Amino acid sequence: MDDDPPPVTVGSATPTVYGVTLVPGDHMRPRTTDTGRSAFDDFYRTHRADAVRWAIALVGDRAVAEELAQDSLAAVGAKLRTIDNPAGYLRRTVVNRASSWHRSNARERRRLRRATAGQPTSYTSETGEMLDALSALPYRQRAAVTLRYWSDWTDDQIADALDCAPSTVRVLLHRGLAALEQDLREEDAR
Amino acid sequence: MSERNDRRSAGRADRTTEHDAVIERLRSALEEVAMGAELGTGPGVVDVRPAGSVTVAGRTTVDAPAASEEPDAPTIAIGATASTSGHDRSGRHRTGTILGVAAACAALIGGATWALSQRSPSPVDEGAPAPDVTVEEPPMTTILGAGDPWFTLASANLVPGAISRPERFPADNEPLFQSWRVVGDGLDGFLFATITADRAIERPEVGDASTVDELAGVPEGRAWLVFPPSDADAFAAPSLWWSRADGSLWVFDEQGLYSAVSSNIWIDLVLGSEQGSGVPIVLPSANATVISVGITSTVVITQQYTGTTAGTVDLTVTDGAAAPSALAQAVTVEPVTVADREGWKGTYGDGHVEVVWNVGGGWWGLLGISTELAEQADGIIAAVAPTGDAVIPATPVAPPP
Repeated sequence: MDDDPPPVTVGSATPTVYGVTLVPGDHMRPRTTDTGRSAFDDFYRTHRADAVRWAIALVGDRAVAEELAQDSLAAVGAKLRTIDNPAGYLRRTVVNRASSWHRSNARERRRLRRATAGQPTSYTSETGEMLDALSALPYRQRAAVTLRYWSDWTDDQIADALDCAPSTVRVLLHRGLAALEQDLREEDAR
Repeated sequence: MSERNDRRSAGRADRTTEHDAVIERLRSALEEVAMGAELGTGPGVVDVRPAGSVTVAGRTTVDAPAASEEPDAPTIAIGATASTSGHDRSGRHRTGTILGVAAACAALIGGATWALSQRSPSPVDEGAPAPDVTVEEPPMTTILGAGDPWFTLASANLVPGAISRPERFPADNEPLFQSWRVVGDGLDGFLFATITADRAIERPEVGDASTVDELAGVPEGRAWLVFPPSDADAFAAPSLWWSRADGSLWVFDEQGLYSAVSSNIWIDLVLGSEQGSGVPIVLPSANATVISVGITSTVVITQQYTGTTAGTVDLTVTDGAAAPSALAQAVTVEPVTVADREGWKGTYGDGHVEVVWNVGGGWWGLLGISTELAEQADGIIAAVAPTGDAVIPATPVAPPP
């Protein structure tokens, strides 16, 4: 996981970082320097709102998006001094983590969908239909469409985050929009 | 915000007009979702970082700085958004979850910040004498509850991440879950049911490309087979939705019971089920053994391990009765022993592995092993140990690339 911070285990008698056992003592305290803290603060304040919006586009759930954004900011913040383009790295991290969330939560989302069948949602019907249509798209199509047309990423930025060519992004956009349009048209016809 | 609007305007200029309507609808929908989201760190943001040490099961681990000591540190937004999003789209109460996640995030940020200083010391740090710090035992904050079972993965090839323990508070109309192991009369697999009261439906609203076929000759109410999109799962077994005459909705999933030769047997088994007295549903078969009954989880404790080369393992302990449904849709399932308890290992079409075991006391353990590590699944399962017997790898492990 290239975008993860050094993991710190909290389930053992002596905590480890990357498997290195730590001896409890002074050095366990977070010894951040003023410089590091300040850089992280600036990065956090500058990018948090965007990160949340990107994540909302990718998962369609505000609470989940806030969690994803928070995790992504923490992950990127831990590497601020070692990466050239923190904003680009954050974009990739949010996209990758949202992708992981979709994979690992597919079953849970199906279960929730069953459990809430017929239950009124807190959104308007138009929004509910759009969220359903987005959830039916393959993840890369969804990411391309929402990041392009709601988050205003360029094709190059999307290509970088999805690790594909800009021309592929344009294909994803075309197919994604066409699928959305058809899905919504069918929904409206019901 | 003006910069955002400028970028929006610039983005609009090169948009095709062919899809303008759907794009506007997309933007409107996502704006509605984002409405009220805490997008900044302005007024109303509450710093919920725990003061002092984060402790697991009474053990001191990573210090998280107290808010009053570092007012400029990033905060976790639990403002109007988080509190009002207690009822999200699913209608579930999420306040506890958010608070739990917030605490976990605070621990993560503390760890990340600490790691930042450890991995990337600034020139100012190098050669400078360590500050003379007086260590006082800080107040304790507990992540794991006193009665929570927990496990570790003692493997030199896996790097542990932070533990999260969100809690949730069940709603009044919380669905019930029941699962069975079914062996005999041509069946060998698992059956999973979600039971929701007062949820009569006219048709399953599955909201995706699923195929919905209504069944004829149902004993009561209406029932449908819902097939997932053909490209969503390598093996596309259906769910059976049954809207009962009493207004309840029973939804069944299975593993290993549905095939070309046994589909009718499985459907007959499900549609022959009745409301029970001791348990929600009674199946008309002596070959079915109940393995879990209850509501969805109130506690889900998770920790992700990262492979030193690739892949991840998600370790989860939950009190939710739906845990065995992690095996639903698995292509193959085989019995395994995890930490001396009975369990099952399910392998999916994409190669990833899900392991479920009965921890006891109403708790279930889950291991989600990504495809990259699937070949090592047996070794990973063998490495699961209760925290009391945890063995921390003594050999330093290289960080993931």
